Amino acid sequence: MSRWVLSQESFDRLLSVLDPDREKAALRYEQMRRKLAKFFQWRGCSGAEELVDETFDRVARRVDEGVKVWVDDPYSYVRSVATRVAQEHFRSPARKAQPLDDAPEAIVAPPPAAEEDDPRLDCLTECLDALPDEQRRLLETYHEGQGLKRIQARRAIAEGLGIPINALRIRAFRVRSGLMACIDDCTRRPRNESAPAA
Amino acid sequence: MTAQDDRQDERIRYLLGDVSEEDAQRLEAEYLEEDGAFDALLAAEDELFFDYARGGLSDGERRKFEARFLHDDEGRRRLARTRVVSKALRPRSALRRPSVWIGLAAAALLVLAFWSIVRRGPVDDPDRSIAAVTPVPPRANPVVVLTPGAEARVYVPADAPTLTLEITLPEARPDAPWQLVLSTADGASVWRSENPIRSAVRTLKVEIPARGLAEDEYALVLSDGGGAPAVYGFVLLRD
Repeated sequence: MSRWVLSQESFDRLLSVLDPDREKAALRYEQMRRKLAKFFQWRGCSGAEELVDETFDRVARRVDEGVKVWVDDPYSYVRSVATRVAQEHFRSPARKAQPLDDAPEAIVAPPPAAEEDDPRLDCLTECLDALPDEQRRLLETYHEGQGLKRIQARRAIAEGLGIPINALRIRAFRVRSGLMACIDDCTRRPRNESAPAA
Repeated sequence: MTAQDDRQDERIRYLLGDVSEEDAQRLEAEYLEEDGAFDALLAAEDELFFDYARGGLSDGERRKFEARFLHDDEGRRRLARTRVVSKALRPRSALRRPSVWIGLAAAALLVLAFWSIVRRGPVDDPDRSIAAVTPVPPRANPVVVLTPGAEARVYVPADAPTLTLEITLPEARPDAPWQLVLSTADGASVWRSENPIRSAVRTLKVEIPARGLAEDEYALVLSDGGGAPAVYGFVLLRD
């Protein structure tokens, strides 16, 4: 029996089931991919992206076969397929330990760059300076302290901002993500090129 | 504890693989369907990286975090970036203000002066005063003792040709072929064992070239080809 392969037509059919509007369907597909990649990673699977592909291949195949996989809740069906894919991943013989003697030749990397040569430090300064004051203050106070003191401090920040603690966590996460992205962009630029104007 | 703290605790336990299958499926149904629940988990994951980078996790949490998030290059790179940001976000408090540095330096000098008077002992004891000022010769072959869950420090003189890693293995397995990889804080591999190493006892001693190792934080990852790797951290100090 020949192996089923995802064709453009199958993919289009999958998108049309996600949403009749193609643009919305594409956005929904991307968001599902992102969530599924995390789903596999948080389940402790290696090679999450491949497992996401496998999940969508199976779902698309069922759609191709004319199975009504969902009506209002696509996540429910996709989740059940993804759970099965994860379970199979853990049972896979490929996951069994490989003899170390079969491992490729060890590579000795060059010694690390001295700290003063680390481009990330310059970038960090640049990106922190570019951060609006209130965001920088939020990060500094959010990460201050340990244990109970930190919990109390975070509650106080949330109260001060008039938002629930969970919204504060997400807000701090978004500021950190922006900072990380800025550092990544900056380190990819040639060293003498200045940051684009905000 | 509020209901929201309780949920955060559950999210952390889910991310560390520490909830029942039933609870895991309930959380997964939530975050796959609700973007808000997904964002909350992403935020919790990011905080775990920060807490790990700052040594804020318990031994058990550290081990679970390492097994789940540091088993690949992507996770180690993310940790390296987190460390850079985490250091910059340490409470600036007043430490960057020169007046405070001057104050701290003055206080340190006072403490040192007081300590040297206390240690000098009776003035008519010449041997003691000589011992107090005799410099300790640097160890030509420094050793760092690595045990799970503890971060060690080792001073390595510039002329030391080797550094000995004395590792307490996670479990006694005489036939296990251990593979070792040493990485810097930013995830760059600086040394790895060329062949698998076996040890009949629970302590493994490995001598590595020291000259190429800069002052930095290092992570030694120990794996036996299956199961979760063990990760040991140490700080290497130079002149």
